[in-house]
Amino acid sequence: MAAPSNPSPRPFRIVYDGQLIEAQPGDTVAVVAIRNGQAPAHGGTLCLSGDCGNCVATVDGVSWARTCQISARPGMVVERHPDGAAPSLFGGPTTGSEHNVEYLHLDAVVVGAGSSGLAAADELRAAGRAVTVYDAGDGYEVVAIYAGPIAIVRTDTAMLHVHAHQIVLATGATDLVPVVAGNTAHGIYTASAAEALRVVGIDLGRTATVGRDVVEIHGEDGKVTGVSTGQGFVPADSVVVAIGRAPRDVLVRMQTVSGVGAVGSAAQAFELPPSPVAGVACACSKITVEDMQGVWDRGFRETELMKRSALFGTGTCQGAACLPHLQAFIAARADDPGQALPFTARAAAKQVTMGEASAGYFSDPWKRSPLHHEHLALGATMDRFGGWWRPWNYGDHVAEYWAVREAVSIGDVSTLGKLIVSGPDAVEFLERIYPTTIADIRPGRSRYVLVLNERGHLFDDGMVLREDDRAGVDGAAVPWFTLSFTSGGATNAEAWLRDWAETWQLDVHIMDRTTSLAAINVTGPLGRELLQRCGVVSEDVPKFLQHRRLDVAGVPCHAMRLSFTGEASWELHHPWNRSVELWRALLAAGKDLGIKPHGLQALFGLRLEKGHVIVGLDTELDTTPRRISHEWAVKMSKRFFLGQEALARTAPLVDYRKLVGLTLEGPMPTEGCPMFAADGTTIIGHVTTAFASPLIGKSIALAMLKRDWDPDGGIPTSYVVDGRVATLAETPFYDPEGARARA
Amino acid sequence: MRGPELIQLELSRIVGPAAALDAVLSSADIRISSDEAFSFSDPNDLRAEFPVQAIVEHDTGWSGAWFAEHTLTVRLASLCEWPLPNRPGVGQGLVAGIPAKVWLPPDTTEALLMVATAHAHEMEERLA
Repeated sequence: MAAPSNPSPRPFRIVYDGQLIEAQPGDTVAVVAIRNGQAPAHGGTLCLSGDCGNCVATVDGVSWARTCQISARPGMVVERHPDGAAPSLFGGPTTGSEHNVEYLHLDAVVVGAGSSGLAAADELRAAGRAVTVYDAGDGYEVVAIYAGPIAIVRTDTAMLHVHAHQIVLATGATDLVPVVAGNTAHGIYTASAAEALRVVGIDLGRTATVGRDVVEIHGEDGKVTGVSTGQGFVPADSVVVAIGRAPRDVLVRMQTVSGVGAVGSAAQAFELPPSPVAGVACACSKITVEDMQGVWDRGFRETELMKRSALFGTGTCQGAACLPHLQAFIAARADDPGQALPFTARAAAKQVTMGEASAGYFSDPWKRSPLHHEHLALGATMDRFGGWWRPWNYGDHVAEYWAVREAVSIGDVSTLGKLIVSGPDAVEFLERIYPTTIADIRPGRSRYVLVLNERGHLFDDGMVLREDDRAGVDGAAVPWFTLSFTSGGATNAEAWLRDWAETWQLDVHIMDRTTSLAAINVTGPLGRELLQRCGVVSEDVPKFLQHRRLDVAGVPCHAMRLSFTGEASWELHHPWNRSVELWRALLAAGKDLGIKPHGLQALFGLRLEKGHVIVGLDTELDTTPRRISHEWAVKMSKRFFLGQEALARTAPLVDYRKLVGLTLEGPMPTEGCPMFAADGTTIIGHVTTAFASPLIGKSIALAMLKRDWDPDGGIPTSYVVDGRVATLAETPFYDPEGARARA
Repeated sequence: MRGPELIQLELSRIVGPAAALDAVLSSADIRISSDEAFSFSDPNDLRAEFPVQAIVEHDTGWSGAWFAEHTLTVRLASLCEWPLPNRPGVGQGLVAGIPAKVWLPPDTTEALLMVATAHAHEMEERLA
């Protein structure tokens, strides 16, 4: 967040709440405000060290910016947030700064360039270590620590994912802010803040310096007029409060595995402040001591519980300012000292912008398919989706689209969930799991299935493929199935199935093959030709919804005929270690057929033309089959399936939510874009996914209609989306008879 | 510790009745639950020994590296948020934040770190 140092050697002006005010070179935005008699926010104690959250404002369109950490620049536009309210979500900049992800491998990292940090760095260097020191003041703010150890470092242009052998945290301590009556007035400073202002030549007027005996801060029109202590009232323009310091230890608490240590003030025990009796205890969430008492009285008597019930530590300061007071409050009342231990620290330690978040303050391990380097070699732009790195496009998603529609294309679908279910009770088990009939799926055939929870809400979809039954020792048939799930749903599929198998005490066995098998989707009108060129004899090429074991270019595959793109498609599931071989063979064999690989960008558009939903994008947490017009995939007359009872109960109720198809002229609307009624004033839904269809020549979209329409009068036919008229359209938009998929 | 190179493992994976796994498998196999195990034996050989409903598959989706006992206790253990198992035994959980298994076979002082190959690059980076 720290900005480059101000290049101007002369005083300059910035726009502050619409007024031009003067800044001195080197000033932070907060200092500029104070220098001009303004409060950076709307009162509260200022620490000016990036800890308290009492100086946040909107700076050059970025809200929640800590103005004490941002150098003022000529022409900078600063707007205070509304008093007591959050800034508007709308009306901000539509484009922000770009943040790259950068991966670094370092030996020893020291976080904090204070005396303890520099001493630790010297000690490490003396031991022969290569040391890198990161300090927020230099524009390198560490916002997360993970096992590894890994530090996530925010800079102006990138989020650094730093893999280190050792991390030393020397983040120091911060002044405690007072929690007393009147502590929201403008003109209260910590001792460090007051000293910092004195150094830059700011006169705070009549100043009263108080310690732990402070009782109340008095103010008028939001401005400090004096302070009461045990010694009586003292008139003042500014109050400087020195009630002690607390370790700046949020990163220390974030990671406890080896390889990460703390030195200096960050590692030291500290004395809790007195238990607060009045005032605002959490400035970020505006929680008063009275609120705290109410929460306590309702039985939430631990830091973790008070955090969850009152939102302590969830705001800008992430507990840096409020946690010591919360601990003091609980310690004064609790029987067990453990009730007052600090709550868990989680990334990010400071608020991040959306751009920074998308560049990653997390350190989830993202999976790679065996074709990862093939994609890179083909110039793919990779993106994270469903827990995997996946090719978004190979440079021209429209060309990839046409390859699917008019020739042949291959796509990496290794990420799909793939499970095997076997056992004497396998049919009964899957009948209970899925809302469609399973028993009548013949060996060698497959069926599309929805996956519902007990509430009848859709949380995944996929395919059920029946294999040949195995003959048991007693001659009884043992059914055998392969199941597929979406990439995002695969993670939980095995646990979901195992839980129900155990609950129902059925004799089934479940194996998750998701990361053991790779898969390539061959799709397009020339797909059959491509398979034949790769050694598959014509009569062995599976027909629609058939599946078969066969060799493709010498690689053993489980070939499944289905279609997500709208064209004839074959998913080739094969051993993980043979995937590169198969991928290259398919590309080589299809060269003169116009083959191109396709990425997710083209795939999402292709499937949208077919009206296929993507669970999680086109659906919500409580979406039922009815809301997406998938009643055809639910057989209510079955004896039992998960969610059946809930669907039966809710069937007679009016449901205003409905996924509908739209067409509109011009560029595709943004996903999530509001959908207005035809009058253009009432939001009645939102766009879930959209695509500028090359074939249809218009933008098409799926949208969730939510309210203000008459179920008896039919779905409205006209809307306003992105300022344009959008027209209701039947789905699928493309090949409604499905002739091409079955070809 | 220098970063290990995780190499693809040639394994058989078995899911079946617990009693059958008890009867067929030995301490030379990697038992990860009552009904699931990995083995270095040929899957075709194993299929013949298990009842028909047992799922026995050749599995090339895992990678691993062998560690000496000293490395295990000094370095690897520090990256686990769970105690390493006693030998012989299998531990499972996050290693450096990545889902992994650690197998300590009998009659040796080494340990095998196993991770899905899809995660291998990330594990190598974090252990480098």
